[in-house]
Amino acid sequence: MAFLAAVVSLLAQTVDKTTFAPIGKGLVYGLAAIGPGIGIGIIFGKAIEAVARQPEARGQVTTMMYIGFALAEALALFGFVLFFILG
Amino acid sequence: MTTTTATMETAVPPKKKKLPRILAVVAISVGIVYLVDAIVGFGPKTFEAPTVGELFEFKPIFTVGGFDVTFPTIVMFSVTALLILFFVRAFSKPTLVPKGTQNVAEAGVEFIRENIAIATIGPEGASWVPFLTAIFFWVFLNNFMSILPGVQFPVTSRMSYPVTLAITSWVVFNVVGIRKQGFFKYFKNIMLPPGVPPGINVLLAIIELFSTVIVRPITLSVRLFANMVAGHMILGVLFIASSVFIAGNALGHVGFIAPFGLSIALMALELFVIAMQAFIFTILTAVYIGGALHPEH
Repeated sequence: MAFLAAVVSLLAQTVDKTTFAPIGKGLVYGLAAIGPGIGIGIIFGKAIEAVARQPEARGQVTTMMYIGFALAEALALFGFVLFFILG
Repeated sequence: MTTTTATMETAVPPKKKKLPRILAVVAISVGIVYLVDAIVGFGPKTFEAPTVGELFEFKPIFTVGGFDVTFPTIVMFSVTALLILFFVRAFSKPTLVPKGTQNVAEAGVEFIRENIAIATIGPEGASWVPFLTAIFFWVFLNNFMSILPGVQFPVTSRMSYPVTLAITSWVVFNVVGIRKQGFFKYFKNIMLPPGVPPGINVLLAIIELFSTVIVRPITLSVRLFANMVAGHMILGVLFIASSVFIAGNALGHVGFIAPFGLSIALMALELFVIAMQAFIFTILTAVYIGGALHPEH
């Protein structure tokens, strides 16, 4: 930890603050997309399983699938908006 | 025997003709590109990714009573007028057997009624069909301006439009909930869902209130806005890239097919996103109204 702190303080002294700004901006959206990506995958996978088990429930399953998808997707889009706020 | 060979012979030549036809289409498109290049001339010869300001900010065209009227405003009002005209034309003289515009409008309204209103709110959702129909078609058409040649700007990618819509829907579902359940009972039902042990109750009450009153309108507007911004930016970058390719050397005149073809394909994807965002906005509004009408017991 002490070594890490030393490296960070050295970087803070030697490197201009704006040097790593683009990397940070890129990371914001990339990191924000991981969780929703997994979540959306699970939502659609489960919906397909549900429809395969009970094809007559397709309408209800699809509706709920889109609601879940929208809620998960919003998190990724927050990262996308934050990207512009930082830039 | 002779008949089969005859049919085979007639069946084969069109396949061979396809290649010259494709070549002719390519030659004509390249010719058009050269012609446009010679007459108008294409933009910059080096590629620079467009900034947000370039893509989304417009200078006011004229001012009405202190309000600046920009390009998106004009598009939005034309779309709204078009929508009103369409529905007035469709339902002013309804006939039992629908045809023409009435047929199209009825298909749309029935889709909203069956798949959104009744599916999420329940049987009394039928009385919410006009509101949801208006939201769905307004959002869909304004999103659709994103890929309509000549306009190519999604009105909903300006934050004020989704925010206004989200506030409308927020006011509607809160007012509906308060009118149906009473002020204190409505907030009690939001904050204290049944079947939660007493200790966690307090924590959950704060989270639920926060998510219903603050997070819902924000996510509703940001979802629509961010999707449209992302789609418009991708299309903008690709179209500018193809324009730069054409403005370059002779190799670029062929190479521009890659970004141009990709952007056409992405326009198809964009159409899907447009329809889905309109659907999601409408269905979430319906879900919120349904939640305000039927609290969990």
